[in-house]
Amino acid sequence: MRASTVSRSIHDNFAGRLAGLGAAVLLLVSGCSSIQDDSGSPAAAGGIGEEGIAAEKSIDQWEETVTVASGGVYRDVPFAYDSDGLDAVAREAIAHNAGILRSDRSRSVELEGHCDDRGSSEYTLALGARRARAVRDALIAEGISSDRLATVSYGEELPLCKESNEQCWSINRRVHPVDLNQ
Amino acid sequence: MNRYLARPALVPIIAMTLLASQTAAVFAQIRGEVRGPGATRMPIAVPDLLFVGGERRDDAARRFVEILRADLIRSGLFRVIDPAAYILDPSSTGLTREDINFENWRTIGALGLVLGGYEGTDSGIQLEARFFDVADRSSTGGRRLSGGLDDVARLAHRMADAVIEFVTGKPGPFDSRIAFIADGDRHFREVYSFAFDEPTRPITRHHSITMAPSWHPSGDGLLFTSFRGGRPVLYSVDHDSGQDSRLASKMGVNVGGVWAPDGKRLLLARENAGNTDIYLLEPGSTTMKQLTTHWGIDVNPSWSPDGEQIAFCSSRSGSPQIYTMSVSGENVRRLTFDGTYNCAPEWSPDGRNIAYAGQRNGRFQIFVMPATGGPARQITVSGSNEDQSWSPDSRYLVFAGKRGRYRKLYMIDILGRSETQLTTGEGDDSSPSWSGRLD
Repeated sequence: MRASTVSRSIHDNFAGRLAGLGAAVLLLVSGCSSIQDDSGSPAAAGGIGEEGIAAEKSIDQWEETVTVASGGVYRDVPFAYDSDGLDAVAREAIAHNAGILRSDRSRSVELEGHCDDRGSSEYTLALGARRARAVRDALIAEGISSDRLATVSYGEELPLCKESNEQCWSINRRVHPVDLNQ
Repeated sequence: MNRYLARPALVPIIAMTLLASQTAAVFAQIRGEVRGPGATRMPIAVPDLLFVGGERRDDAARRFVEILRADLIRSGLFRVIDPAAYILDPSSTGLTREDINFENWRTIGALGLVLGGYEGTDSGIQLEARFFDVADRSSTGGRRLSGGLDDVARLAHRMADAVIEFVTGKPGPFDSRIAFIADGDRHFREVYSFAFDEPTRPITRHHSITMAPSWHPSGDGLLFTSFRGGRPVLYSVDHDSGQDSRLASKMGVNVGGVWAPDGKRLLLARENAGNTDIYLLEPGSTTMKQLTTHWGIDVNPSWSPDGEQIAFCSSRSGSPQIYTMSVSGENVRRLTFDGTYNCAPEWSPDGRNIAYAGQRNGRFQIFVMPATGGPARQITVSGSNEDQSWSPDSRYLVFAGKRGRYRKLYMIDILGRSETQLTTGEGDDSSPSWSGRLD
């Protein structure tokens, strides 16, 4: 009980920012290239503390628009370590998400596969892809059309929680649905 | 003046191999004891460079010696004797065998001695240093080096690599670079370049997530994977300019890529409909050859140095394990059987071993096993350690170790005896890739 309270608060703290980055990525796909800072040769500039101011500002804007629209509607689908299998809790979350998609046919989602940070980044990226695919297939089995379901894996690259303990790892092992329309 | 710099070039001496040079029984015995880094450390004296002529470049000369000492210490092969103990003979300003009072060095316990002098040039420094066998009162060889003031660290690494060669017959690894991924703000992760005793510098500026840097054999550039376009895609980047380009848009969703030893072919892992397999891309070919077809995850391809075989990680048995196959995708062979999670194999540059990260008691540790299979040796013990990459001399591994709050880069010799932390500060560092020796 206590554990779930803690994980919920961690989730709330990070969900907005993550949704923002997901949106940033999508906007890049759709051709909004304003943050693609190709100017100059970064290596020649030197110094590890540099960052692109324009990009930061843009991401802030995306956060504002996306966080409001998608906040807390869908449930994250949890996974066991090194597994893309769906247990009862995962199936319950998928059924909840399928209900939202059924009730509002204008919605479509991108299913983000995530992993905890144990294992090579390449392996976890591949595992995240399998997790996203497993949730996609389950939503299709629930009657959701495949053209409303996109998938992407972020592997271990976007952790919600950065501690090295099982509670934190279990929070990070998830498929996170992000609304594509809003 | 300038008596040693005016002497004929040292090249002929350097050209002699260790075995061909005349070495006394005592020194041969020492050398025999130095089986590997961290075994018996040879006590060595490294006094300051003597000023010989030209411009005074004392700061550069001091920095050269400090870095040389640091390299020798972190090699695990030497114990550098405290300079405060050195008995310097002010009347002896020469640097040849005849000029050295070997008794003064023997008295403080030195078995090896690196003695050198420098001359300041208009733009930098020219120096000459030699390695001496104190007991035998002979020189095994030396180096004449020159460069600008910005090159001092590399000159010192060259000298350290040479001293290691004089003692072991194989040059050291320090004149090289290590690419890695560092955390930035807002979940950005970018590729950086580390060189010993030099500031770490950024290579990419993607304002996105980048992953899995891997050097071209030339050391001039890297492959890496970036989420910049929304999906992970393979990029190639020039190290010095930072100019990068997508390798090919039709390659789909990529999960890392590695150049072949020939610098032309490359292997990558590619995801399609949730399944990730290993593909080969050959120069001039527009299609990729799929090497694995299993439903399980197949990732982390690593070339054997002869370019004939591939080590990789596969979950086809139900858990990630290390396999090898031929470059045609045939003759698949499982190498690891201990533990339920062994992944990220890296073939050593000398072809003899494969290093990998294995999970034991809930933590990851670095293991080294013969490339032909057989018992593995656990190299790391403390913390949780992953992402190992071989040094160019196959004597060390760099890896990402979590010992405190952050993951940082460490190097360790493959006997696990001497470990050095390479990066510090806030934020996680991961996925190091050690280049070949620089030209």
